[in-house]
Amino acid sequence: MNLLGKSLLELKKLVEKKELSLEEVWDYFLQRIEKYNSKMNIFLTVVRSRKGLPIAIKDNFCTRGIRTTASSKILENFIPPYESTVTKRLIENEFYPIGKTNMDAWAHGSSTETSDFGPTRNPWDLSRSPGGSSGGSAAAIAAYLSPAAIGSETAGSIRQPAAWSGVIGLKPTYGRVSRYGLIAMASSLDCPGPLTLTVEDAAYLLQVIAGKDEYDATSLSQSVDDYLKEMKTKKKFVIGIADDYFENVDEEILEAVQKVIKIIRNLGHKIKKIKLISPKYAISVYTIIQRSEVSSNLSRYDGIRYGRNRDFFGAEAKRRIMLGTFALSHGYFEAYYKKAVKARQLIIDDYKKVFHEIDLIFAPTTPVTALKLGEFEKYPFFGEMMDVLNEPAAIAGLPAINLPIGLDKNFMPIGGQIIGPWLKEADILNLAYQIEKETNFFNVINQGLKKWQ
Amino acid sequence: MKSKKNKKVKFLLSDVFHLARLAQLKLTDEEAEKYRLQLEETLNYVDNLNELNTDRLEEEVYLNLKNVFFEDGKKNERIFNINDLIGKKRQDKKYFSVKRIL
Repeated sequence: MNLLGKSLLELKKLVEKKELSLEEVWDYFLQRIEKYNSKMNIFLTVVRSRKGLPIAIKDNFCTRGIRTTASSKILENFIPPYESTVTKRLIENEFYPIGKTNMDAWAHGSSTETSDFGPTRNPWDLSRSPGGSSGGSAAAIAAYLSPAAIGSETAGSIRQPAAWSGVIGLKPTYGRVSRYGLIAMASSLDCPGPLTLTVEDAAYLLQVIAGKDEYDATSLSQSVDDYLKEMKTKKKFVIGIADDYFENVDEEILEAVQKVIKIIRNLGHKIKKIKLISPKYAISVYTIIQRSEVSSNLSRYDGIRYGRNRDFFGAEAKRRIMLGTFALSHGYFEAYYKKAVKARQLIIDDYKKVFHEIDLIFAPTTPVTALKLGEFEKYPFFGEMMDVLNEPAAIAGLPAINLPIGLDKNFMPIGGQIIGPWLKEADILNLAYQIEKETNFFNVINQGLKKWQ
Repeated sequence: MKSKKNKKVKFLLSDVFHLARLAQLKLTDEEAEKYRLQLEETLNYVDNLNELNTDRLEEEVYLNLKNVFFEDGKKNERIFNINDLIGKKRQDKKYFSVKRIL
């Protein structure tokens, strides 16, 4: 049986019907990893669990007994003595790690180039970045070295690599999925989520990992929706379009987004223009809050607790720690950190207001398609601008999903995103599923898989 | 470091070394100069927050946190069996058990 491109749920069904054995599934993916991993540097650690169905895990989730580095030299030899809540729930549902995926070190970046173990290459074009920080997880799916993957997003780290690698990436509401055992980057923003080949898989995996966790005080106690059921009910939405999210975006991406907006309208949904605070302010809020939390969270790597001292930090981590230390230091705390926290509140209020008029927002995911490796340095502000369209929703804690919506002239994937109100993942998945049924995502995913037969 | 509204933020090398000391980082002169320029660029960008009026807002509304730690004298419901965590057989819940050293 040719397994190429089979979704996680398809594999699960085949195994349940005994048309396929778990042995065959593991042999298939482990052989592909053997053959292709060195070309793309996707997995830092390959795990031959050979139990349950395989899933790729970003290397910032603690996995008991399995090396977890967050792509940093400091944690090069760190073997966690406990399981993160996300991987624990996956294992309880018979999904076992097949490997730990490469990422930007400590998740600081949008390209995987800050990884202390070398960048991951984009399966669509090996000279390009897969995006980041969950670049390894996105590439693992795009090259089908795993049927699905888990990533984490602080502001763009699931959606942006999903867009650049041509797969689906769901960032849930902040607090919907437990952060326990996820190596902390910015604790008021960090959010685990799935990267998949189908909307169904994303819904299913969210169902598995979501829910209250007594070990994460910020996890939400609201009950988890039946996403698989809810996404298949016929719903009609009012979709908001904000002009500010279309500024400084490549022409080809704008065309693809307009085409999808037309399709959404033809499916019977209403399109409505909305006004939102410009994303340029979200960048500032995010930069200050994230760096501040980074400087605090990374202070634990002092050489005593984890063995290796602070000399092992890479340039990006140092830069972020320094800015965070500045924003929190005496005399600047009010002007920077407090100002940013208040501005964050403005952005949240702004979203609250528009979600009275509309159900969901549709926008491009990134201003450009995948850059060449090394090209980031040419851009001002060190690539932060790649996440400009992801940061507003992230700092507000909103859920959002990236969908592949076409290819540009270089044959690189284009991503569009649906942003929803807090805890409305079911609505986001519902619209995503309708678009998938109507367009099959313009065959983007299938075309990508063809390269990796 | 000077940061007044609508004025360019300026960083001195000595400011960078001061921050590095606070953050327990060792920097070479070359690194410090690179960070000096990057910190300036970033701080000049985030200055756009001063265009937003946030006077009426209180901070920390979004997080809406409550203290989940136990009060003194009450039972700690969240404690781990630490020795479970590190795979030791001992039953003491509150302390790591290690081999005696004397």
